[in-house]
Amino acid sequence: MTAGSGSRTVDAGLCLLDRQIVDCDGALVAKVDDLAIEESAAGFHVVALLCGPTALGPRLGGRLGVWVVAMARRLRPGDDARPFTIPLSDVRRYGAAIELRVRVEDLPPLRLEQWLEEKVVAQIPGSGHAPK
Amino acid sequence: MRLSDLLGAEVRAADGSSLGTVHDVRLRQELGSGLSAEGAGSFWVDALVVGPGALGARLGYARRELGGPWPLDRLMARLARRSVVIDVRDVAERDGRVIRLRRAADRAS
Repeated sequence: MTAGSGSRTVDAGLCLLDRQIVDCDGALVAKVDDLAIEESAAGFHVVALLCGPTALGPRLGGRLGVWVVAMARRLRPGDDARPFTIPLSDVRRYGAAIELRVRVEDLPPLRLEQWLEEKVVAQIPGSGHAPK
Repeated sequence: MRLSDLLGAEVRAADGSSLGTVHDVRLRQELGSGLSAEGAGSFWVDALVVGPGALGARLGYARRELGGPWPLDRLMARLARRSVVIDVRDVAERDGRVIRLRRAADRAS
């Protein structure tokens, strides 16, 4: 990373992809699997961090990527293929981990994890006592 | 568009010659007043790191300020030296996994 007056440059693949995202209390949220980029009159800018298998699959590419996306779609409720999205406005700090301004409870749940929690983990005897 | 749409895409100069694939995307982070270097801010796509081999660039050796243990440093820097940094304003169009530039290969750096 290089810093100038009021700006610095970062290589997205090196400095943002695969970074751990933590909430404002330090709880683990997810890892950055991709970035959403939008075009405006001033150029292309990053608008959100994308997480989860439907974000990771296209990045992996090839048969493995197609398989990851297909499995995620089969295991999630409904037919929504959108990845878990964290707007950049929710980010407080970029460092070794990406720190959010919000709590993980205030974010929409990771759909695949929600499905696994309901269909798999909840069926295990005694799982109701496990801390979140 | 996603970052993964750019990573791995082939870059061709205006004359049709291939410069390699996109190894990384260089972002410019605009920092607000009172924020540290790690503070939040908007990220703008500034340039594409393009080259024939990805290993040196993936490990960060395309950036001059990155040092490392000798002789790994020299080897990776040599691999990364073949990478060129393309200003995003030189991109003419993106057609699927192919990015076409406005400039000829000898002027694209």
